[in-house]
Amino acid sequence: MDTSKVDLFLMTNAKYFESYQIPAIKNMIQDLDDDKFIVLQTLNLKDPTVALILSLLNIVAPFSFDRFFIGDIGLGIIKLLTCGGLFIWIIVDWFIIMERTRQVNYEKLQQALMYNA
Amino acid sequence: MPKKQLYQLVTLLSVLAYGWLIYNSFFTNTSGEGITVCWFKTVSGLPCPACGSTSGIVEIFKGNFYKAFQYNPFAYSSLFILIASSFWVTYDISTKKDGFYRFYLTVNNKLKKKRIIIPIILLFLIIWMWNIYKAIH
Repeated sequence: MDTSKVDLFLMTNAKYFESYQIPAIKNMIQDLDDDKFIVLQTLNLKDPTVALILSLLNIVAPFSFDRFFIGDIGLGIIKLLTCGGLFIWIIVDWFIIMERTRQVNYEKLQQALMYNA
Repeated sequence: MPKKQLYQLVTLLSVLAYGWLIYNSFFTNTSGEGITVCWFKTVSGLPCPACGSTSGIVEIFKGNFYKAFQYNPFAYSSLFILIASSFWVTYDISTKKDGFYRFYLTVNNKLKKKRIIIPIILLFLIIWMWNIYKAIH
């Protein structure tokens, strides 16, 4: 793929990934064809800040909005059934949910590239 | 979620849950006035969707199945998930297999479908409303 396109993708989407994942992502998308750029652009990446806001909202109501939002629905239901993990899980999630969101985004990108390579 | 992290989480939750159930089955009096660990109930005065599960599971152990259902129908599902996942994870760790992990990924992908998750959320809301109704009356 064109270097300018790679740079464009990395610049617009850097906040969705961990900083240590960026070089690996660059390597992955450099080998792609130019017409796969649209696949990258249409990826439904989740914003870590939104996940954090939803996680903080869990104080108001004992739902696991954050886990449902990023797609960990199985864990979300367990979190609901245990009343937010007796509040401990809710507090733990305030600190780990952004990292987890970026991890989910990375897995999503890997999957998309696997199917479209 | 990596396999190791999921297994650690399930082990931790299972140990806590078994400890909590043993404490409630043997060390509290039978008047039903145990300590409340639900922060939402403590703060707002209203029960959360899962409130009553512990009392329900204790009633299941005693054989009062109807009374357990009256406390909270999620007592059955919680007990089933707890027993099934803890045994499966123990089996996986001892035989070094990853059956539970693959099952978790499959279920997670199934739950992303709207026609499966919307009825589950509706069920949660209905039981929550029933819980609040029981608390008021």
